[in-house]
Amino acid sequence: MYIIISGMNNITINLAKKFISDGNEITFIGLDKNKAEEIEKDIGFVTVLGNSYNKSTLIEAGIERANFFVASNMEDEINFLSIKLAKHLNNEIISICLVNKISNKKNFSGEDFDFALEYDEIISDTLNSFIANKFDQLIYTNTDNHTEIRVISVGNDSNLIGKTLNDIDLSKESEVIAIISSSGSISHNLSNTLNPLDKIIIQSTIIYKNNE
Amino acid sequence: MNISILGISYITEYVIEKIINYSDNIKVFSEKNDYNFENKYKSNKSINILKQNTLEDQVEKISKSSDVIFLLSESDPFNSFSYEKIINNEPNKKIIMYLNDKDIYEMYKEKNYSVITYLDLENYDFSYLVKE
Repeated sequence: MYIIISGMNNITINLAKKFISDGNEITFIGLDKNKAEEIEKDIGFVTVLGNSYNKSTLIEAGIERANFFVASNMEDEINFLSIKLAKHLNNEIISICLVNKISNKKNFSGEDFDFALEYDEIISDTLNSFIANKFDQLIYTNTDNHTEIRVISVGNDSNLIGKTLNDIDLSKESEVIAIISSSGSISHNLSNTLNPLDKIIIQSTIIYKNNE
Repeated sequence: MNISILGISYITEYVIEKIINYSDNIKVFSEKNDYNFENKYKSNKSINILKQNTLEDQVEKISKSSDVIFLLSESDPFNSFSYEKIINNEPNKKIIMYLNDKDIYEMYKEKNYSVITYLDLENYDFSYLVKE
């Protein structure tokens, strides 16, 4: 998954380390040049300097291909506008917003705000688990024979853990190709139980609706 | 008609000149002192300039005591978040928001928010909002 994080602070740096260890790709947006250098030295990934409520900055950070946008600045109004603009540029993105003042939480309830989390929820594993559990990525579509290939990740708190593929209610148009473990080994033994961070590769037939 | 203006930016004077004939009760709220602005209007009894240390916490309260709200600060995040706070409580409030960033302005314009920017100021008619 590709995750853009607005706000360079200790909370987001710790979050980013968890995201990366789960195999995600991260880009930070922020204004603090010294913090950006510190981050790049410490964990060596990309930062974009600028306001996250600026269209050019979001596009430079790759908002159009991002799966998640985490607005975790210390000012609610900046998080609010950043998410509004991020959703405007990529309406498929899932937004996660830090709410600094509890009294402001009701203002983060519109359709642009998928998740508004308080400080305690951000620093706990709630957010990390949520993102890990949401990994479902389309990686290939063949329009000639109407098939697609998806990767589904088993998150740390996923209800798939301990089940076999026979226990999972896949549609009859879907077929499991392989399971990739967190160590990178590829297995075609579909009777094995699933573990956290396993990735399931599935091929499906695309069912078109009558008017498509 | 009670009109409240939140924020002093370079367009605040422009807006005041457009609406001053329609109200004898215009309150201007700001977190910072702007002495040129204050000196210009200190003798005008229709205009009351009020300094607020935490304006963001006063937005809903100010709105409830106003017929029309102008969000004219230089901060797009402040103006847009204040707009949201107000319409969540008072969906039919007469409100205008100034946005400095052209892309943000266009985004809100598409969503049919009541917005102005420096590019279209001269074409904007404020009188329909502030007439009794």
